[in-house]
Amino acid sequence: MKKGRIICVGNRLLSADAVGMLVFDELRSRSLNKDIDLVEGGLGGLDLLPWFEGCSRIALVDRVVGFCPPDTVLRLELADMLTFCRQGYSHSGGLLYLLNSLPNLGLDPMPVVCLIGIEGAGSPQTVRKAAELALDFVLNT
Amino acid sequence: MAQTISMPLNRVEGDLEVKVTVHKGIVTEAQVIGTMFRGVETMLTGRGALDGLVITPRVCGICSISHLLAAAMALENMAGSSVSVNSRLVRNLALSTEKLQSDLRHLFLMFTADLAKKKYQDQALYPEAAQRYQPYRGSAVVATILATRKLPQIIAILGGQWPHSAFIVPGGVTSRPTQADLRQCGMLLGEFRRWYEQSILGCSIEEVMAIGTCDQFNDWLEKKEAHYNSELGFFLRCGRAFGLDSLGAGPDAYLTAPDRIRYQKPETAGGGFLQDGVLTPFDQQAIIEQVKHARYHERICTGHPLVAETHPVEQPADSKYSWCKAPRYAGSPAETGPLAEALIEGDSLCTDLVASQGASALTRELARLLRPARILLNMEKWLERIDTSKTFYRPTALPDDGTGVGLIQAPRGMLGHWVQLSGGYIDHYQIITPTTWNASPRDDRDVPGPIEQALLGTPVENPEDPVEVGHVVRSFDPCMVCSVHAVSKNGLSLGRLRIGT
Repeated sequence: MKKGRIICVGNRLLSADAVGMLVFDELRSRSLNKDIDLVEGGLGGLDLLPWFEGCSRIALVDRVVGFCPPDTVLRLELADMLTFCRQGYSHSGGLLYLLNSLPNLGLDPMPVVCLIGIEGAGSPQTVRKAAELALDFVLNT
Repeated sequence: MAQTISMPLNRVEGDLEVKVTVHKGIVTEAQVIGTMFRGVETMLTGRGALDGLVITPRVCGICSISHLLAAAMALENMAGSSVSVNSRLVRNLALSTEKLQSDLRHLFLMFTADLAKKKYQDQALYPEAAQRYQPYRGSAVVATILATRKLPQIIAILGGQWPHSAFIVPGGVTSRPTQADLRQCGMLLGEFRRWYEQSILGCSIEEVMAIGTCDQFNDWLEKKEAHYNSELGFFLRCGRAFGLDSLGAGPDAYLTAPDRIRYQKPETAGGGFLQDGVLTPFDQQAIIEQVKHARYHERICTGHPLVAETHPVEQPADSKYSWCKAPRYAGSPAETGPLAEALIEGDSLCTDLVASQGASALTRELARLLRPARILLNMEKWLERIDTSKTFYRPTALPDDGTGVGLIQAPRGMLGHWVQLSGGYIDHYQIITPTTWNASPRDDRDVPGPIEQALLGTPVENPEDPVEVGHVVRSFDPCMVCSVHAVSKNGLSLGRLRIGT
């Protein structure tokens, strides 16, 4: 079983929503610890579920809006995410539907999940910082 | 006093608003409004011939295989080429996998969530409905999420990637599955079938397929506890008790595309149009797009999809209320989707359900819940028929100039792509999705679209929570995020209301 997994989500074709993919590229360029999986989640919603199985810590990386000043990075725990984001099933809500359902799916182990959120389209500095925060979380350092 | 309700309908895919006028508790007028300009066709103009294979699957995050297949078939139609048996089987398997996942997720993640609402709390079946259908945690919801999570692996094995796969090309498929790949697909399919039979049906697929009439359906329901308490059994009981069988009749005109995927009746393989009980063979020349009430220039955007263009009006009149065009078949609006498939193929149970009780939100959803039974049986046969020693691709040369059409049955109904090449580049592209058929606005003769017709006469108990309107709209599984807006007879808004979670 993998110890940790980093799932980067976003849309490469839409610059305003591509920052998760930029973090993916940054992480892929590094030599990662063999206990870490790196996943290009794209626009996957519910179909990312298999990637939530078989590991103990998961960092989602995505753009956020309205949480903190532009060009900054924050970390939200799963419970915080669900407080902000209760939404039905739709194209935009597929991942949120999955996160809301996650505690009820009987996953063993149930992974500890956080979101590394980036405000703004992502400068090189924020992309690197997001990558570091994601690595710190999944390695529990 | 009449009231108008404008509802944002979440839990459907895309952007849709439904505006209904309610008089004495009954919907007397309805407008289904596509709120966003799609413009994919415009993006394709001037691009290379093969670009539609990459761009059009992005029209939908759920039905990407459907668009990829329709785009490839349009080019094959232009080239006059055919594909090998193997590639047809692989394509069928991929498309059917998308349908399996979509059918179950739609019903238990989107549609039944409304049956767990407080409106029904006085119903005897409400506690069980809430236990099964509550968003995120209901037993049917959780089971569906878990059972459908591995299905895309079938597409990934056959095509190398899902979503936004790119393995279907003019001439066949680019992958070459091995025997081991096919065995793995068979295992995934077998696992899904076991869940579908045990949890959804409470019996074997063959036993359900043998049900031919409403009376036999009722007998089946009462015959065993496993049937009665299955998801199908409970949905049937709950749907009847909550009145879904009296909502959303629709236009009594149904349309299916020519389909390589045959379930039972080869004679309808060419597709069909069923109106007032009369079935006629499908002819794509009978399709016309109309825009009197859509936000496009009427002079150049009306006509057959190979002619009609996609040019939005900058400042449309109020009568132009939707970004969806109004497609018509032989001049008539037409419903498409699993119920249309079942009726045109002559499925005896669905035919008897509609004949005896009329089309309704319940029959529409039952057709969707039963479609996987037919699909699974076919998928098993297709897997067995693939011969890995034979070709999966035939080189196909595209002409620099020409026209082509690709028509398929996507998860939500008939999907069509029309393309015209000029000098090797796309000169014209038109897509008519299933939701464009079902959610079309009024046409040039002011005839309402299928969902608009289905909403007329719908009782609305509480205009502030018009659950009944949501049932009708969602039964068509529109591929748009949707809203409903209530206003009074004199046009005053009662506010914009969101239904669902």
